[in-house]
Amino acid sequence: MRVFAIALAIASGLIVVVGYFYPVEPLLQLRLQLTNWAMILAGMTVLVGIYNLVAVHMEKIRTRQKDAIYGGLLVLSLIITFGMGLVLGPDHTFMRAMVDAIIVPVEASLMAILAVTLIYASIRLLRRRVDAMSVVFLVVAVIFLVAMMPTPFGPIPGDQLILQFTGMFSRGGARGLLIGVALGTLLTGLRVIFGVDRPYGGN
Amino acid sequence: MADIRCPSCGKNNPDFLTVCQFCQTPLTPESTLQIGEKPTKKNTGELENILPDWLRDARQQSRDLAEEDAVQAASMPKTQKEEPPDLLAGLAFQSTGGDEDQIPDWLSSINPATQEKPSAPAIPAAPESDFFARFNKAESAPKSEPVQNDGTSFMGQGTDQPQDAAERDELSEWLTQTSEQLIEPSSLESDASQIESGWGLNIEESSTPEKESVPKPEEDLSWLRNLEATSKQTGELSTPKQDEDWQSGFDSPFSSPQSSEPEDLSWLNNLGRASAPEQPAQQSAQSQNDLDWLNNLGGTPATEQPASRPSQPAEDLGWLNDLGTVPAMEQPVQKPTQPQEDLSWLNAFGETSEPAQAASTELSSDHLSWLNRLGGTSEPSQTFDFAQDQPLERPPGAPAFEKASPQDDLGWLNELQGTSESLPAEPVADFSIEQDKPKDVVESTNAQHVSPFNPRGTAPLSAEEGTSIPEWLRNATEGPSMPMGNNALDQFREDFHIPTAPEEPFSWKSFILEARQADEEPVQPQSASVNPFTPSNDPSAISNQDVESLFSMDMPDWLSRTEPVSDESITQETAINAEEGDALSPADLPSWVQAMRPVEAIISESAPGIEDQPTERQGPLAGFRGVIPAAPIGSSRRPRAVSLTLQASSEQQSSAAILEQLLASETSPRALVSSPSVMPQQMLRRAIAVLVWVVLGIMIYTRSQMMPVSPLLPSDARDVTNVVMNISDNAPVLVILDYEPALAGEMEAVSGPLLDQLVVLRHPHMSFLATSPNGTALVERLLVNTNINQPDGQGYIAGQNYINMGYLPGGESGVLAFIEAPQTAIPSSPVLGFSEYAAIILLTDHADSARVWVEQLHILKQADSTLASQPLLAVSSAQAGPMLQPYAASGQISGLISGLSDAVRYELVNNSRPGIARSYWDAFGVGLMLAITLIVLGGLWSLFAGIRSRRAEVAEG
Repeated sequence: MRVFAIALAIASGLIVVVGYFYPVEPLLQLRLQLTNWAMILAGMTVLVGIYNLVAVHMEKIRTRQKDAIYGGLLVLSLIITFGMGLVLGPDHTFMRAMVDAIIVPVEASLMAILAVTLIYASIRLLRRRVDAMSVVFLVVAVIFLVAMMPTPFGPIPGDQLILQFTGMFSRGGARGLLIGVALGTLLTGLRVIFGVDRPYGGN
Repeated sequence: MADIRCPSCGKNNPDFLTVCQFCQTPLTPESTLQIGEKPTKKNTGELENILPDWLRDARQQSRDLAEEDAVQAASMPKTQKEEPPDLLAGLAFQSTGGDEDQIPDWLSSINPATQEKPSAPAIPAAPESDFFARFNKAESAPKSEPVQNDGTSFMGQGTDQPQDAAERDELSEWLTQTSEQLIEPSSLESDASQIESGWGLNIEESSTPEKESVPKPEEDLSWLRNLEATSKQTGELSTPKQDEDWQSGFDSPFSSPQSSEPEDLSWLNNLGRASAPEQPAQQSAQSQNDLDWLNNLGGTPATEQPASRPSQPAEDLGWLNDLGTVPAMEQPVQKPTQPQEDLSWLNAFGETSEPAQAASTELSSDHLSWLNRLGGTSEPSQTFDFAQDQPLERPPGAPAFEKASPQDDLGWLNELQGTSESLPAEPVADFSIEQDKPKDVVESTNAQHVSPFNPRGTAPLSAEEGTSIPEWLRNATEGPSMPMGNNALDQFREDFHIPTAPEEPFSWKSFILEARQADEEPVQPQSASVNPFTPSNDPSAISNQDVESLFSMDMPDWLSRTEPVSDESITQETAINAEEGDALSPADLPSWVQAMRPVEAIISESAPGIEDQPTERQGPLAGFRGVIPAAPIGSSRRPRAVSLTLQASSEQQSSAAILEQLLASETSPRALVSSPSVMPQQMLRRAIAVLVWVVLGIMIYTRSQMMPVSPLLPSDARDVTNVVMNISDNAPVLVILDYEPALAGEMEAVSGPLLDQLVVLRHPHMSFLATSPNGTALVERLLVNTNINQPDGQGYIAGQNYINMGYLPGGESGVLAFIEAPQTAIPSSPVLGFSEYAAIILLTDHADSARVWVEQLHILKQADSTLASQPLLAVSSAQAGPMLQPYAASGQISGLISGLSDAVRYELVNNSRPGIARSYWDAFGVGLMLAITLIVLGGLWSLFAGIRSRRAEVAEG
């Protein structure tokens, strides 16, 4: 079984890769079929994830652990939402209200907290560690914010220059990151194809 | 005068010389004697005139002394001497028996050496003549005539037998020649010469090459002459006591019967043959003339015919006179029968003992010297017979000493033993002569004390054992039958000390000392009174003197080793060297060098020596010393014990106590102290949150738009406008929602102007596809907030103007699948192919998801040319914008709107619709200013607070 899993994983990877370089019809059809299987498996993984979440929180309720009530509330909300979505459909007003009233404000609040946290962290940075990098980090952040900051007096003089200057560094850094990510992805794909890495299991 | 060039040394020599005067190499081919050739007769009397004056004087003095001694010896009454039977028994048996089977092994081993070296016992004629002259004097003085008339001797037989007429003629001629030269001396010299001739004939007959040695005695005579002169000065030769002994020695031979005369005549004829050709023709053949040639050999005629005789032959006469005194006394004990054999083995002795007697003289002279001694001691009996054969007087009743027993024949050896004490002056005088023996040799001989003459460990002779081999000879030749004892083994040790004189009956050292004393002091009459022929009561005294010196060459090295120098001498030498500065003196080492000396050196110095070690008494090591260390093993070299107690000062102890306290504090639990800064931090966070909330709330609440918006669009935003302008009307446009609900506010504000512009301008058919599970719900929110699906807005209707295709699972695979087959991936897709979309608008707040769409579309555009012109517009949050700028710069993204700043400008360009961005703009600006202010002020406060706290910590220690 283990060998079969490895052979299947390697064969799938090779077919998709070869289909990229040699877009012949059988390979394209085979690649498309494998991609569809992957999409189905990915959708099923969401259901599996939902099942795992319900199982974990149900275990907390069953064992009467601390904050188990939150688990019960989560499971209850999940079941109601899942049920209503199946019954009412996603475009129902109730369903949109649930998203707009619950999901978006909650996540937006988290992002607001993030803003406050970032400010607080910047304030405490020089308290915890006083060194050149910390000072540079703070100085660059402040300069970028000042450049982007709308003022009642209009944009500050040289704001575009500052943005170009800071954008140069940001673009350069971003390119470097993307190249690194691409190389890492390529290497990971090769390792999976050659069976060195087996994320599908089988040690 | 023509010169002859020496073939060896190349120097010129007079033509009358046959041998080079420089290197003694034969000058003429005929002078070289080859093997098997008979030697030729040569006259050496011609060389007499070459002798220097002092040699002639010395020769003359020796002859005079010889004459006087002979006269005195003849005048002395003859006493019968007791024979030393033990010593000569073996030799006599050899001479008489002739049976070689009965010859002892040691003698048989010596004889071949004698035969192999026939030239070694070269007998000079001149020195022996003087030697026999003494005999002749001693005998002829009282009874010269009877001796001449008596022809019973072997010489007489030689003359009586006519069968050797030719030889006899030669002999007579040669003797005649010599007799003419010796006409002046008395008949005693002639007798002596006759004796000498007989001696020489004996050797000549035994080995024919001996004639070759005739010219060699030239060198030997010089030192002998000096010896003679020295002995004369000491008065030794003039002592009448010795002559008396000689007389006593002569008495006995006359009583001995003569038994081997024919043999003596034969070798005498050979002698005559050898010398006859050299003789002048005018010499007569009478017997008297024979005596003359003997006189000529004796050297006495040198005064009359100095020019016709070689000078050196006469030099030997002096010491031969001394020796002659002794053998003359020994004649009765010798047996004249078979003299050839006796001489042969004596020659062997001579060869072996030669280097011991005269180490400094040359080879030829050495042979002559020892032969002279031996000849002088052993052959007087023969010469005496020869004298009887001659017309010289002989006592009528003188019995032929051929009848003497074999023991008598070897009596001269006893005489040697006896004369070793009576003639100590000879070797000493010999050593004192500088012209013949170098001083260094003498000094070395005296200094070393132990020489080849050092006696072998012979046992004392016993009178009972003397029949076949003397005890002393047996002991001298035989090896030890028993294993060496401890004393013998000690002799091999390096530090062995040879026992000194008290332990030895005789040693060469003592002999030398005695000889020196005798040389320095005049010869006492009492010493001469000692009769050498009288057998000594102490057998060891007989055996351990000259006899041992004869066989001293067989001594092993360890016996002939030099006596160890005493410690005193060593210390003296060391002291001398130290005084001279040649030796290394102990240096004064500085203290630091002494401190650097290894411990082993000190231990070795203090280690006891072997002498200090005890001797083992038990076990297999019994008797050995120093095998097992006396001290307990390891005790003497055990390093000094070091105290383990730490010698620490008070300061060190205090430091150790502090360290101990620190270690104890590390192990002891310490109560946690609650941080006092928790409350201020929470307060600060809350204060910041409240401040932000209040400020932003005020701004939002007031809907303030005091912040101006720049109308300048970034380049990427301008590209978005261009793309929107290029999209055809009612074209399907794919809008991908790839953001989370948390960023829905920002994304709606950023994407609102673009969607509003697109809907307003092109009124496309929009297909919404969410790659996030919550994206499907956000589509409606977006359309509501942007007023696209609002009736008061663009009035888009779901399913008609737009479609929400839902969530696209599978990540990259889903993206790939949707790109390749939209309806396959999303069955609700309104298009069959991806290329049907006029534009793709990607609303993303995450760079990675945006990268997936960008990359997959770019690959597909390369494969499908229909997709090449399909624009991809990206609307990103402020945080994802920098990551998408590279794709925008590379053209993979047709246009990019990033963040609220771009959106508010784009909205401004779009106629400020939907106005969401602008509503956030003042709050955004105030919020940035607040954030910057808080960061700057908070940073400065933190900086100073940190410095203060660190100072406070430092102040607290």
